Amino acid sequence: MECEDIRKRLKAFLDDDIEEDDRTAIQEHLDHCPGCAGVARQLKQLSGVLQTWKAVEPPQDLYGRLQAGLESRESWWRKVLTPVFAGKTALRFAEVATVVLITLAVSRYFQKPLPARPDDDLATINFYVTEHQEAVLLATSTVSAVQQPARMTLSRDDIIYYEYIDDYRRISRPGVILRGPDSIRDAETAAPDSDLAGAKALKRSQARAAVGFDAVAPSRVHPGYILDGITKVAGRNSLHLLYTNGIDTFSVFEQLLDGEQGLAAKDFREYAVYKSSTPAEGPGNQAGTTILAWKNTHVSFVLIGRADMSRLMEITQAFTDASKSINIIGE
Amino acid sequence: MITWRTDEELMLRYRDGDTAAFETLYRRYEKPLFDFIYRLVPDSTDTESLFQETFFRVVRAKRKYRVTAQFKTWLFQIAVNLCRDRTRRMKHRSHLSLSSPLAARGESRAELQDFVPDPYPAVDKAAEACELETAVRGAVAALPEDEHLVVVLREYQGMNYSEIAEITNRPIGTLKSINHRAHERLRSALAPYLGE
Repeated sequence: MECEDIRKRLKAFLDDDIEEDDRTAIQEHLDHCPGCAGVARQLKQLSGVLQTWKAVEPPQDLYGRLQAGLESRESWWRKVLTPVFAGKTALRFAEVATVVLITLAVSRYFQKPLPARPDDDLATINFYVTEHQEAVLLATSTVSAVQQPARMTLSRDDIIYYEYIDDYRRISRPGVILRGPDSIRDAETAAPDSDLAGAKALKRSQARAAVGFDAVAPSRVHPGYILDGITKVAGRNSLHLLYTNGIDTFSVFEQLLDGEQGLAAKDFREYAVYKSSTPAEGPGNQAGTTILAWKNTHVSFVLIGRADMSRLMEITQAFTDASKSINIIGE
Repeated sequence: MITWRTDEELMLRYRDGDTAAFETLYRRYEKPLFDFIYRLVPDSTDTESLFQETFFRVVRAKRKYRVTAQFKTWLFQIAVNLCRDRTRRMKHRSHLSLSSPLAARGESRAELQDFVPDPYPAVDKAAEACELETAVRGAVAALPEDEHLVVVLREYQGMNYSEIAEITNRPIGTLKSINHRAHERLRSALAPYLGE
């Protein structure tokens, strides 16, 4: 294919919205054509740049104003008939009150202190944190990854409170927030057994063959993140999905729930979220990182990246939506 | 535990008299729809009135509502049509009010454009301090109408091509071409902020 044809398809290529044969041909072209490779890099970066135009918040009490507008548009006969439905409204109020009471009871239950549990889940998450940090280092720094960057790890002490997440986010499970340390932990505490530099990028079919399940791997995640690559985690039956919007990066680790080294179903009574308050400085320093763990029926997911809670939930939702359309377990 | 209901189920419940279902639907779409309209017609007064009008239309249509398409794409389709009408009316008004007196004084086209009010004035003055954000907003706003719409739906609403096709009534292949053209234009307009 000529450069002109390639460039017409670059956006689809980056969105992973292209046939496998075309993908291979374009990748081969990019490997040898610096001009087109430069355009591809710019397009990739453009996604992140576009997201600098921040969303605008609706004004407060917009719903109240909408209601007022609706009422003023109502015709006179509807107003006359309204009292007829008063009984129904009272019934609705009773239903809402019941739901509120049940919700409060559930919330109180989950505010109880955490029962003692094995720390295997934290060990797994900390292992993934290290993998993610290595990936970010490789992606953002020309300095050798052998250099010891500042690290962070989690402990059970980091848990501060439960949070109930309602169905507005399509997630009706209780969550738990883990508080990060005030300062970043020393490098010695991080597991040094990552072998990411040697990991090979996999196609979806290869990833499936490597781990025995279909990865939930949306090629685009709102806002502006593109799947950069899938690798198998060395020594584990896990997949590492790296996403970037040209500026920020996040990782998602996926593993079967019944895997020997991954998170088990029992570890997922709640979402585990970590957020450090210390601002990030330099590559590899992952302060400000948020960690969110969740599962579907068969696979555990650990999301690691720098994002606020609402963005995090949007990313989670993208994976939840994508997982509905695939067969998780391999044949 | 709160039961999750789809948008379509909520709309049917609302049609059958459940006003709480409408509020749930509203809460789901308040932020994305407001943001969407703002990015298409970023004038604060117009954004709110178009947003309200979109929901007025939903309320008005509830009795005739049938589950033939996603509620989400139906809602955005209403908003797109309202935004298009508003933009066209604005262009028409600007032309009538500004061209005659200036042309009569022999002003050049370039000078005349200087008098045309910015159709996308910043809502938040503080945001103007951010040069990149201003450049992005300007570049997106300067796109042709169809490209502008596809970019906003895809980049800022995270919609897939099937959803955009439902909203715009255009084939997916055409939408991909439009998106490609839009990104080429944006890449060129924002080149100073990109590497290479």
